[in-house]
Amino acid sequence: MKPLAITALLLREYERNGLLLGLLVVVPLIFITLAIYTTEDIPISFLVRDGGEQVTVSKPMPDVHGAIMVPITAAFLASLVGLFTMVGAARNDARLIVAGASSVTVTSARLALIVVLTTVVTLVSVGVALIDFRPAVLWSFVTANVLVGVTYALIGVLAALLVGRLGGAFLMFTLPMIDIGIYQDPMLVSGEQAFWMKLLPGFGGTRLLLDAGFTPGFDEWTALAFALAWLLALTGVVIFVLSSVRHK
Amino acid sequence: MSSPAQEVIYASAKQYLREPVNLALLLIIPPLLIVAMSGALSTFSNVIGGNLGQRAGSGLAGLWAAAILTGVASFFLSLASACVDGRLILAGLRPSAVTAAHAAMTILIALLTAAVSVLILLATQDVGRLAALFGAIFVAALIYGSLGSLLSVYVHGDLEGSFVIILIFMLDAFVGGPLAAGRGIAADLLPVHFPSEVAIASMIDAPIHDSWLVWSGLYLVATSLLATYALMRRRTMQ
Repeated sequence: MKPLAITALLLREYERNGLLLGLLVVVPLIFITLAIYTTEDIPISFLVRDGGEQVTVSKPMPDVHGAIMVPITAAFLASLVGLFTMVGAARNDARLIVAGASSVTVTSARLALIVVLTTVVTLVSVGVALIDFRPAVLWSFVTANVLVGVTYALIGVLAALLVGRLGGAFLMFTLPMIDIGIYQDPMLVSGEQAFWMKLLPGFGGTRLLLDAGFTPGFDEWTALAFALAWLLALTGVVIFVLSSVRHK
Repeated sequence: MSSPAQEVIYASAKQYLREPVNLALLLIIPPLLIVAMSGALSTFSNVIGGNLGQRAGSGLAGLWAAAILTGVASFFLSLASACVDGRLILAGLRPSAVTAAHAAMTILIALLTAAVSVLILLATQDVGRLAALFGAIFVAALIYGSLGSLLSVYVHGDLEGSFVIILIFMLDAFVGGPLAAGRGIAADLLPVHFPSEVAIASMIDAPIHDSWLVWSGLYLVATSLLATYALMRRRTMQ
């Protein structure tokens, strides 16, 4: 069996799960819409990069809150997708291997499944935000959110492999909230962020998102480099840990 | 409590302690959340129409940490043990004994998370009324623990259950909690609205309304009874 065929097979399991599909739409809808409609309609100033310079812009707070809720939602949901898809893999992948699929094929299919589900979750979140908010550069806004989503999905995968189901759930309920919900949120951290906040996994994607959401053009090359560095590092660590686990 | 029930409780506790990382995370996450959120919640409260100060925000963060961790632990432990519980009952253990064991585990986890949260608050803030603060956080943790158990009976997937818990928690935070100065029937009906009011008043030494205590108690009794009924029914269905 090829990885794509296995991914399609695994996806069918989700197609039949009406509750999960409903929640994939309802959770972003409630999170993001509530954020926009409960926020005071006053301007807020924050730092962005525009034309190669760091400048202060002032935007309506509901727009800023709506925009920042997209990566928060994507990170929350994607990290749980990564965690529990990998927890399920421990039970089911052995059967696929017994049925003749190679370990590499099954692992690739599982990771592809996580990327597909994460992209769906992220696109639903972006779609909900677009009802009330128009980012300045849509493709870059979507890219930023997918980067955050996939990064947190890989963190969820690592949590599943290293601390298991319950420990992973504890972590995935708190890490996205602390990283993106607090330390990357321009409504809560005003001015220049501390250096250590820039080392967190959500930094690059969130800066890209603020650039795409509120300034024309693309300026955040450093942020993109940070986001890609996290993504590559996590992919490497996940592959290393997975191969160690599979060879035990 | 019957001896078999005690055996189940010891076995559950041993199972939990065999995974020391779970215990470590229960001790590490509350301080992380409280430290990260204490200032942020105060700022965020102004964003969404509330007016929490830093001490009040810290109290709310402590309550949230204990509630969400107990709810998550209760949901996953109860979900994971569904098959084993069924076998224990087939082997002769009474459903009430198995349910009592679950309740005891939830109470233990709620006690632990509430104690850790309160200790961190004591170490980082001035606490107005310690006993009332501990009571409010403990009750909030128990309410989420009961909701976690209840959910485990009706939602059988890890992912779906997690999404529902997150959804309830976010509604609690955005609509029901003092964070957004939540008022009205929608706010009152959310699980930790009244314990949150008590926790905040305890932090800043403000008056605690009797109605907050009564509603907190009623909510706790209602969610505990619902969870017990659902868990007992799950046993008899198997």
